[in-house]
Amino acid sequence: MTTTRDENLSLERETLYMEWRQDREEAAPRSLKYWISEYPSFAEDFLTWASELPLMTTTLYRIDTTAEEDRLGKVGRSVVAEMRARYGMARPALTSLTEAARERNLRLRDVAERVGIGVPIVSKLEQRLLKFATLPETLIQRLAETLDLGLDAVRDYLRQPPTLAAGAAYQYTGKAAPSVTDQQDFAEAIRSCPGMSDADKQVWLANLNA
Amino acid sequence: MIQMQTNPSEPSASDSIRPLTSGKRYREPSVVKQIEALRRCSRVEFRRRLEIREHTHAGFVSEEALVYFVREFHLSGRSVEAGDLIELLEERCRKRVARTLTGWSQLSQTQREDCYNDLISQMFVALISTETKDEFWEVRFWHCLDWKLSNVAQKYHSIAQNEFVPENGVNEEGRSFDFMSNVAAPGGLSPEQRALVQEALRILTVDQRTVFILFHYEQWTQEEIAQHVKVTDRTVRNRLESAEKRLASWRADELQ
Repeated sequence: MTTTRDENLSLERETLYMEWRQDREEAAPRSLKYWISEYPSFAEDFLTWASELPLMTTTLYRIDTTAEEDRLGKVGRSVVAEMRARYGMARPALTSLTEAARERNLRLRDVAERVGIGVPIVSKLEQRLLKFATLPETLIQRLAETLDLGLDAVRDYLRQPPTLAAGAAYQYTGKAAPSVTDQQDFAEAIRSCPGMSDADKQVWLANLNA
Repeated sequence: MIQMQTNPSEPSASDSIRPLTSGKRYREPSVVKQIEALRRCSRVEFRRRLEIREHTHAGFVSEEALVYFVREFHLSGRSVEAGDLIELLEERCRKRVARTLTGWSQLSQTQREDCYNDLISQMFVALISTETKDEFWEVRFWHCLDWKLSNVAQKYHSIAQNEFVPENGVNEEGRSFDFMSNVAAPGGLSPEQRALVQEALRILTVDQRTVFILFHYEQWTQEEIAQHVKVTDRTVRNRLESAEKRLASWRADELQ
């Protein structure tokens, strides 16, 4: 019973706040005294709201709040991620570039063309055969844009340890167990990539040196 | 980064915009126009529009329209996309909240972060709510946010008050001073001065700010303030003086 009364009071207060805020945007808003005389039981609330309003609405800020925004950003992102997981709204982790491309009706060749690299490099990225630290940011950005994924999702995927190529287990017929190749530098992969023009290679290499 | 996996105009519950259930609330015509346009546009275009950050840009998507799509997507099972939009809304809230919270000078950094934590949690729940009381987020996003922010800040302010030790010279009761020589008379501030002072209000304590605003912005007399705030006339004068001193110091720093 008490809870219901409290809830009603809270709703009434919220409704009143919205009305008051709306009125404050009018050319000739009603005075604070008017609101207090109309709703005396909310007098204290009106005083608080009036005191806070200039902080919320001023556009004249010259004081830098970047550091505060950064701190709040970390908190905000973490809360949203937690809430997304709780309400089943989380984005599934990226498990395969090929799969992500397929979901977007793209072939690996399409991805390679859009990113501006050779198909063998896309395959190496798929298997994480390129050292993450050597990958240029431009490459990650283009991959994310092409596959319509978040930068963090792509980075998290490429940071993982290398994996076997799809189907490696089926192709294996020898005696030695299949193993992944050592990771390669991006620049090295570009230089040795068949099917990429020298001009395209130079663009990437120049990008790395910039 | 905002990611939209499917076309926003792909199968939705209805071809028309979901109406608000409360007869008293109406979306702004400009918001309705945006929603209609976004429902028709391609996935790529939708995403491009979300990337526009300048609110003065013609293609900027208003927060109210974003809330509409959060609910549209969430209701039609496209929860991941709804979550992406909430991420964007959180990002847009940050600057305003950071600026506002710096005005709650008694809150520690940890308390401000806790405030933001609570605020975003509450906003998240409200954004995916189907209750009539939460519809207003689609009508006046910033008012709703301010309302929630005000509530959580007050909660933490109450906690902080119990921990707060007033600095020397700010303990207000019982001090004597020449009030009128320090504080401007009601109406004494020009609109420009008021705008400038508005920026500085964050350095005041909540009590100082309340008294200052009632006196300079609402044109109340000190007696009226004392009566409503339930303190003595002397306390009102002291708070005004403290506020004025702090603001004078702020102005001096600003002019350096």
